[in-house]
Amino acid sequence: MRTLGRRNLRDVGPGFRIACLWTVTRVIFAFAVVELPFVFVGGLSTLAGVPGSVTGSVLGVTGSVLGVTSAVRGRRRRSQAPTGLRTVISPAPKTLRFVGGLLPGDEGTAWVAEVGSCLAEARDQSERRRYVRSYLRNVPQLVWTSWAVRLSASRRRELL
Amino acid sequence: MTVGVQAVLGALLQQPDTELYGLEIVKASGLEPGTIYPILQRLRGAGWVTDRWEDPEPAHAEGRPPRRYYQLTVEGHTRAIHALQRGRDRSGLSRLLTPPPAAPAPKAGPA
Repeated sequence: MRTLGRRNLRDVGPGFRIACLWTVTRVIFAFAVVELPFVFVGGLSTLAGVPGSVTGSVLGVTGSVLGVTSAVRGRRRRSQAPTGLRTVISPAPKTLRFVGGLLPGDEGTAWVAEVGSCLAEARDQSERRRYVRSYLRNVPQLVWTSWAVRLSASRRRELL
Repeated sequence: MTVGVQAVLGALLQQPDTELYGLEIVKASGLEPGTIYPILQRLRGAGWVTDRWEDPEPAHAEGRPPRRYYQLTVEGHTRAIHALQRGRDRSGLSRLLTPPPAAPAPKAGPA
């Protein structure tokens, strides 16, 4: 058993830095994939002299289509999931499920399931929203801690 | 040890023989739900806390997803008590709460 403290975070070595860099790269890549097409279309339409209202409508329709497609895909994925997990996955919002992908290994799946479980037991919508905001506020700390715990555990195993 | 860790340990120590799930820890500790998960992860990584998933069938019978239960390990229980005690000592709270020792009565000198 080890003690809790910042010393353990310093001990993890270059592996931890690489993991952090990898996580940041994934976040930037995901942001770019979502945002760049819209920036590109907006820029092109400005150059071509298309009025902003038309561009906005086109982007709005595109966003709706993408949203519907994702919803259909998500519903299909949920229907294919094992019975035990189906109700666990459904209550967590999409943003939180994305956060689950930033955590190491099966930690993300477990976290999303746990968040879904807590959200399902929220009394009302306002409490649910408060919980979601709280989860999102603590994402950086969650990602940092998860990787730190995982890497220190693997380092301990290496030392043994 | 941060205030958050102390709050979570305090919540788990209230009922050391009972497993608590996330929302119960949130209510007992008074912390936000997003705050407790990094803390629980650290405690789990240090071996102070164990976790287990509830069986899905009784949970589904109640119409809710399975819960993840947390409990202090035997060693974690001992260490948590010492850590909280140390935290209280450092904050000086115990000094404030403990009454000062009575001053020795002055010896009566020869008249």
